[in-house]
Amino acid sequence: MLLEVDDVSRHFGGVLANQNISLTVAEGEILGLIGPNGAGKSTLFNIIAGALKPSEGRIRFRGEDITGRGPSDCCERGIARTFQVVKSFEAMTVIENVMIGAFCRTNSERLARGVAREVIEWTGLDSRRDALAAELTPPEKRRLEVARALATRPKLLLLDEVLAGLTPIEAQAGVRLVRDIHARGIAVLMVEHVMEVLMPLVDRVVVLNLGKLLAEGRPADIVRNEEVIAAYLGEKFRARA
Amino acid sequence: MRLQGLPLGAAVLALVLAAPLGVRDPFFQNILILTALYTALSQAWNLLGGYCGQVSLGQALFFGIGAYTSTILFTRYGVSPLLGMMLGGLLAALVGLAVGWPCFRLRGHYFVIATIVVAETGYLLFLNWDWAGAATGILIPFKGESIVDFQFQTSKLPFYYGIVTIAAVLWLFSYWIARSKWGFYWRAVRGNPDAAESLGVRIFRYKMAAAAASAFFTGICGSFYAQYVSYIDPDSVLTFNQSVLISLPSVLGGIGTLWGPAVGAVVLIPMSELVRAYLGGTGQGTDLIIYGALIMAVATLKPEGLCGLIADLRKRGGRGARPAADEGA
Amino acid sequence: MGLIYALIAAGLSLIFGLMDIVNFAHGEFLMTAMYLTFGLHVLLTLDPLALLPVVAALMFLLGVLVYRTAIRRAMQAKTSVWMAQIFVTFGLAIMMRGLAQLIFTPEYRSIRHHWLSERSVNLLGVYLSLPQLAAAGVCLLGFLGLYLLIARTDFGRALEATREDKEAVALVGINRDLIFALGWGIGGAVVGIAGVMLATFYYIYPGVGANFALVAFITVALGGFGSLGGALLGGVIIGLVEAVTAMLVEPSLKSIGIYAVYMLVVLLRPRGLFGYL
Repeated sequence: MLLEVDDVSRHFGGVLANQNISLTVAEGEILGLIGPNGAGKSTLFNIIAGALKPSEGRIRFRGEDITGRGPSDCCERGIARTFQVVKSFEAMTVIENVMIGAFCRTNSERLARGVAREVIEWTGLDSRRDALAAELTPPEKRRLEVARALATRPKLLLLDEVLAGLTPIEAQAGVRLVRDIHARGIAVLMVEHVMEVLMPLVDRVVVLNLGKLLAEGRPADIVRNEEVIAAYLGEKFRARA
Repeated sequence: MRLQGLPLGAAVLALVLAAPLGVRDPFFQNILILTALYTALSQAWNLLGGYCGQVSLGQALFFGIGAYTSTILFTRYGVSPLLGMMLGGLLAALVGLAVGWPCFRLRGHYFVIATIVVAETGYLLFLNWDWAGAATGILIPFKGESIVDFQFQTSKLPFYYGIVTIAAVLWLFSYWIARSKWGFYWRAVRGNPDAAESLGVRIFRYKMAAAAASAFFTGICGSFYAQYVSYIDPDSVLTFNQSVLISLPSVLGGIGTLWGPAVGAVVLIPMSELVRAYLGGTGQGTDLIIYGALIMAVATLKPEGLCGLIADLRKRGGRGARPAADEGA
Repeated sequence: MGLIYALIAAGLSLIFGLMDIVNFAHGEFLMTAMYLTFGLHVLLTLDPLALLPVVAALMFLLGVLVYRTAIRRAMQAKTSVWMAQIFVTFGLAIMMRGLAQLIFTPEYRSIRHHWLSERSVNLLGVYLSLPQLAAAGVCLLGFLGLYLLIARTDFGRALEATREDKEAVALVGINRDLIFALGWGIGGAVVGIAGVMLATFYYIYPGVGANFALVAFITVALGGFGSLGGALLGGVIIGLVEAVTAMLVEPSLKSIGIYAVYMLVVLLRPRGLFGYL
């Protein structure tokens, strides 16, 4: 198992955002994390990424306990993430942005630039290589987020609603990118709301509701799960299944 | 063919080194020396404030530490100021780390205020510290012309070349580091600390490194200044005004750029010295007004500073030719 | 004195809470108010207290003017907006100080003969100087007035709303620009009141603003940026600390106590007592 979330809980004051959640991500797997708003997805996401500490429970990555380690530590160990609200380095160019990620694995500017160039090419940002991040369109910025994270050579990539608000064409391009990432053996954990795009893409799905784990399994099973439908998916999906 | 990077640096250095040939009047030589001094000081400030984004308005503390360290070592224990400079710089760096440790958890204006408070505390401490001369300060007696003692009376030129050397070294350091991982990481910390962290940047560590480097060089400049003016007291090296003065050239010339501090210093220092000399008593405060107005103008109209302005003009002149992406400036 | 600090800090806190901008020229605003008081007093030979509304109004205008011209521009910067606004207000501060030096010379001025000067009051065996007492009183009133304004009026609510969510208020029909301008105006007026009262017993010189500004920053940091109650409490605490320190160590070191308190706050609770970070 690449990632093991073991009985994790997290409360903020009186609010229990995550309650006894356990899940796993295998090497090279694509896991979807879904659930209604307020279900605790972001909290869990941030805990895995190291931006939040769990109140209880443990997180293991590649066999090592990483509970409570900070974001930079997690990144070094091979967990990279994107932000729902894109956080580019506006004053730096696209390649410089990606180089920041690349520097995670090397101290040499030359090597970092090389890695960055390579990542930029296969994520399709080559045409904007020397543009300032501030000049990019929102979908391009999102792609930059992903490219930057990829430059850190992660084993697990955490994507936070990267497919939200995209036109169908952009969404398809996004799916292709995730598939490419998958093809390179990088495991992906995606938080998403866009079911039509997510279900065909992922290997497994985890559903959160009200801070607890509601269901877990293959997409085909999840869309038939009565509880999930009631809580989140709605009748539309039941009819499809 | 556009000149940039190292070749440009070399060309400027050549000009600077040759300058005294054309400038013989000690008054103007003094201006040159001060300009070079503030170039160096502001370049040091730029490391922490411009690249790393941690605006410090308490640099006078390091300036003063450097000055006092080398002066006390020289006047009381006969240690050569050349060595004293290094020690002063090191001590300043240590203090910088000590100050940074609690302060770097603050962001934005909170950090700025903290630097001001720390520097003011330092000022008050030195003002009341009898062993260090308290308010009367320390006078450096002239022991004879000597490079080791770094004292010269017949000519200002050795001082000039001394400070130019310091400024040049600092410039090279900035140039090298801007291209290195450190420079990139600093800019990431400035641009978006959360994102930087998620990409593996250990923010605290890099802030501390910037603080240490900045403080070190500021301290060295302090030592130089002490030897140059032969007298120091809290009011001349540790005040808030001094801290502000250190930061201004970078703000004017372009925060976070390689040439910003130099450009800013070249504009600010001669102007203020000349204004003060020619307007004297009646024009008191005029130099402040001009400073203030310039800073405001830059901050509102062109936050990238004069260097940004130059870059814009270049872009327009080159008719769409892209500036090199890895200029680092 | 604590209450005076509180009022000065309140003005600062207001502007910050409203738009995330720290006005580094706040001290110079204070200085301007004091000089205005002095100037008008000399010109019109009116008692400073009578000038209070006039100066307050003028300072209000100054605040609005500064916002309209300088601050708005700075907020439009492409990168590092906060840095731009630090230096804009900073440049403003320097300019204002220079102007004061030019117009009034660096000499110390003071307002000698007015209604309250040179009189003191015996309160429980301690002699308190009447001007200071009056100043404290007025500042407290000013604070209450500010609080009422924020808490009770529509305008105050609009101010709060803008502070909480700048983007959303536009949707509700609140003119953000106007709110900001008014915020600056009130901030200016508030510090103007403090300035007038201060001018009745304190020396007036170009650098006076800087000292008080630093204390104001510390006060706000202690109480928490954006919190009025914090500014009040912070001001009182700072005033007390300063007085106590002055009794314990030599006069030139009296600020050390405040700085120490500040460092403690930074270490233990960077947000301040009530503030939003």
